[in-house]
Amino acid sequence: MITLIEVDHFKIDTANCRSQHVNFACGGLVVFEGLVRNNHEGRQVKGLSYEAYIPMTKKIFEQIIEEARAEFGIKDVVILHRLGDLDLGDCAVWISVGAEHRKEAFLACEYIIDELKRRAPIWKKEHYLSGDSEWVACHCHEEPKAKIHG
Amino acid sequence: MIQVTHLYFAFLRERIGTDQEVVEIPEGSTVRSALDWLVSERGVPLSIQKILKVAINQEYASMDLVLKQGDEIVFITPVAGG
Repeated sequence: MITLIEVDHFKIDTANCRSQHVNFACGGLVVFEGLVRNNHEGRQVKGLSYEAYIPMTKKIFEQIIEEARAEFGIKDVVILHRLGDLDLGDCAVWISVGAEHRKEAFLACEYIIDELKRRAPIWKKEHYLSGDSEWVACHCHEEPKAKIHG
Repeated sequence: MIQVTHLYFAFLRERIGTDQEVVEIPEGSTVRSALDWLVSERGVPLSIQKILKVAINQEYASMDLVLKQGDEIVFITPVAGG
């Protein structure tokens, strides 16, 4: 079984990622790519910056993978998360889950990205075309909004 | 007194103006008191304090956990990975 976790300032080469992870025991491979989108809640986004508490993030990724293996019986898991400044279309997170069959690979991949977004100490700052920036989900103004979104 | 290290990320790093500092606190201090310290000594608004989670030595911690000498404390504003 392969487990690979990386959280760092690196460009994720998605084609290369895919070709590196082949396991003949897996009949299903589900890949999720999280990309930089050009809009958020009606605002035009021109780029993102990510930062993380790296050692804790890696620990949490390991915990999530362990949970996914116990729940879904999957085999290989790769989680790559990029930090620093990203442009539109860049890959921010790349997750692959290999399993004997497709169903558990789909379920586990969804579990992993959902839990990653909920638990990993990673922060994302959006930069808008209008020139200002904001930490996403934080709404950390003096009067924060109540809504928290993932 | 004991010494603990605060690490600040994202909004808090920008707001406080540093990414870490060593803080001296009374023995028996809890996570809750560390949060109160942020408000009284670093001017973090109560509205922000309310939404913080806290990690001690890379694990999410409860408010009543007692801090120890050398602990690493991270104040976590709402996360947005992925």
